[in-house]
Amino acid sequence: MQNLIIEGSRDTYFTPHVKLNAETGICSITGESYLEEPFEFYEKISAWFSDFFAEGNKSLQLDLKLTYFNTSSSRAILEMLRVLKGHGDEGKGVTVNWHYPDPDDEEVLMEGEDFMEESGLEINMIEYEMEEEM
Amino acid sequence: MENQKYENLVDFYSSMNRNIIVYYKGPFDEIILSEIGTKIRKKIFDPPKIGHRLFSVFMELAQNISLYSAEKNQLESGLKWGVGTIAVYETKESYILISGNLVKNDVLKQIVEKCEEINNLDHEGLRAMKREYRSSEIKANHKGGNIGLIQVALKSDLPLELDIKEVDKEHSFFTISVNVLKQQTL
Repeated sequence: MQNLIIEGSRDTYFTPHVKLNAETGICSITGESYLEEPFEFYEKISAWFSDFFAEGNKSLQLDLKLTYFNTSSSRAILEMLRVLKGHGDEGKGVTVNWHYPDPDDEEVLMEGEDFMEESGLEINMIEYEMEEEM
Repeated sequence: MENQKYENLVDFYSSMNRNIIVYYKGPFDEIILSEIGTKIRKKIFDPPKIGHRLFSVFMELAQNISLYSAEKNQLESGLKWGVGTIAVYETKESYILISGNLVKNDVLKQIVEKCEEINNLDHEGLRAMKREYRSSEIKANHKGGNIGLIQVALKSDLPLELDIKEVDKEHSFFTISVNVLKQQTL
């Protein structure tokens, strides 16, 4: 099975950087998400997850570190998390980490909490130090 | 906004004697969204959180114009984009973002009711409403304008201010004004 790598870009649309590793099961989506076709984008990732779990008793860790996403993207991200929730319910090893910036911008944290509530997934909230503004 | 006709661009320009950060009227295509959005984001705000909020509000309102404005502009590519206007300016206490576009009168009531419902909710109430809409609207044949407005309200410190001017029997000019305070109370 192939890794799925999508380079992040901030061109006309904002594409997050996607790294899905088929060997280790360690996956990440980082950056910004404002996409022309958000559902297609995240469905491709969900399909990869399904192929990954179809290969046997594997565990997956997904790190989400998104600094901006529009509401259309957020609906597509929720859909992807629900797919992961389905795999978890079938007994697959699913770990999801939501990274939010320190110190005073609690809005990204709240988005993570809302995703946790809506998807029914257990999501770990992990604080990180804010880097220099881009 | 004043409902005057400006014959002369200089008069028009002078009339906007505010501390303008961005002013745009025209089709809201994806390049405009990205360019103006990036411009807002690159400006230095203190604290930076204000810049994030303004950027997020701009993106949602601009996407609403792009998708839902009753006035469309067909570009060379053949794609049609909604036409409208957005101004971002600075006052002593806050940053104001105003968006305006034509809306069909038969959907106006629905939009106004939605905004009033939003204005009656506190922060936690808005979060709950956003979760409810997001969960139920997934993949529905709808791009999510309702969630966009809830998101705008979540990033704003004061209720959404609405203004409606009837243009003709079928259309009204619909304005939403959003206020982000410089002194964050949270």
